[in-house]
Amino acid sequence: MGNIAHQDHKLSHHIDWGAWVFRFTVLFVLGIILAPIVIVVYSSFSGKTHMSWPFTDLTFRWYREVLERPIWVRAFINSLIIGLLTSVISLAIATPAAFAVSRRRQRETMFIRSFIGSPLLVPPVITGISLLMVLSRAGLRGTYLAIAIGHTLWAAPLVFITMNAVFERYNPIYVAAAKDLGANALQAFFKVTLPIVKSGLISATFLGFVVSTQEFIIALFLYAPSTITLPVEIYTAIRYELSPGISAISVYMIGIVGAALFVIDRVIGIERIGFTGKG
Amino acid sequence: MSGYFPNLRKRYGYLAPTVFILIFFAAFFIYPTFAMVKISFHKSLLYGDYERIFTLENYIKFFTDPFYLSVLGRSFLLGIAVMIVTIPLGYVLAYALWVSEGLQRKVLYFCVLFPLFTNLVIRLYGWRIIFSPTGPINVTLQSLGVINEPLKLIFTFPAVVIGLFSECAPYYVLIVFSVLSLINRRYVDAAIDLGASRFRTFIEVIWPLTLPGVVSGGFLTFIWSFGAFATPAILGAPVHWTTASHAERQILSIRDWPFGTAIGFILLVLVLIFLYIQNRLIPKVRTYRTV
Repeated sequence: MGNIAHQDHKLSHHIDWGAWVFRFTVLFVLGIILAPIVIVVYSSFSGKTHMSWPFTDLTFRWYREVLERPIWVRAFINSLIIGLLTSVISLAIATPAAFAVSRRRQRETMFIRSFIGSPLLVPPVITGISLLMVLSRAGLRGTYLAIAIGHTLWAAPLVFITMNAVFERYNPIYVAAAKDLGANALQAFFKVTLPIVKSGLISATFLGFVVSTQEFIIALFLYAPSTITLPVEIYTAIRYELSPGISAISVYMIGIVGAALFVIDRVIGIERIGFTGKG
Repeated sequence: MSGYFPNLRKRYGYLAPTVFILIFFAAFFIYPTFAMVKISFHKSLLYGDYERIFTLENYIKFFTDPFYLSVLGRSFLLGIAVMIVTIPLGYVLAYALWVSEGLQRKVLYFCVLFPLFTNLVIRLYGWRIIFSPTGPINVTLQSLGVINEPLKLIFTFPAVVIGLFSECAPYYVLIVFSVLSLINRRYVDAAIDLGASRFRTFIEVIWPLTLPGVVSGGFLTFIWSFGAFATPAILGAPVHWTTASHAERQILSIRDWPFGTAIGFILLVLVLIFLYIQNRLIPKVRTYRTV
């Protein structure tokens, strides 16, 4: 932004209150957003079994102990399986759609883009309830597939938005050039298109996976004891107790998210995630 | 069919690859909604069973019971409260993101995105610890001698609002940021060159241009808070429970599916109404094209 040059000589030895209030507010908001995560991480090192501040006797023991409890391991594996399923399904259905939609200008495709993005606007409780009704009747309640379907409803729109942005940057001239040089449609796709959009695909896959492993509300409606996901297990656990063990599990989950975000940042740059203005 | 409607095929043929996602949504998003509505018109029997006859009794039960009407009112209040907190505070963060560059911007971005992807339950768990009688706030205040007994922070209305704020803020920040980044910096430079103070530039140039984003983000925050169920359930007392919390309770705990789905449908209709209001509002606040 431009310099307020003409005011400098008046304000040069005054404190810029406006800027300090601004900075303080930013830190305050960031603090509120990050506080719960920081506390959870910190509490996972507490030596005592109950939760009281300040956390003393710092130890890593919980991280080892929870790995030995079967319920956590089972929940963790379930989340991984469902995350993978969700990732694959969302990628499969959203990528072709994103490609198709990217071929036209945004104004023409507004309706279909809004439709595909619509599940994100509906409170997950409603999606959860309605899926429960339908999938119970189909006898699918409690299966991996059921939860994956529910998660895909949330992940596919996000994958769509990401891949749509990627495809809009991609120029069909490369494919035309390849065809001029003798490639057929399939060869052009695999040798030209795919490498260019590869990084977008990787990010979208991670996105779908992370969204699924963190999703909890829909999973709460659809789970069965054998397919319980990690977030649901944590949810039921914290109703009865607050313990550092739960914090340790949470840190494992946070670690997964952090790693995925790091990869995404390396691959396409973290600024690319985010909604293109919905207005 | 293409013989009869050649124009249709030419105009919309390019959309063919969207068929997968459309079928998926039709089967698992649209159809289940109808199924849910259908069940809400059935009569509930004991032990989680229900009779498939048509009845309006679930809806009558909801709208004539002052308890449920107050739940609606309280959900509404909660949505408004969170919105009031989020709009200015989130805007500040989005603005900071906009004017920052390089590493600072990456760090800020990371700080905003990270909670977004982190599990909601983990964050709520964190707030439980923070607000608990033996948590950081109470212990610090006590050791400083400000108070003698722990304050009741958990299971209060402000706790739910703060929890929902931390949940909605990242989304709101991203939306406002994406609108801010569309602003042509030349407008701002022009205003400053013409002698406007920072404050005035903001009020008369930046703020009006970002109003559609603020409205979008604000409504999103409201809708999500109104329809939230986990945060009020974990951070609030039962009296703070929203419509959505009660829907979940009816379905999963009490197993009264007809009544629970009725609540769900009422919630859905209200959400659609809010979305419609938002759609009508946005063109009215759009001032100029920003690029």
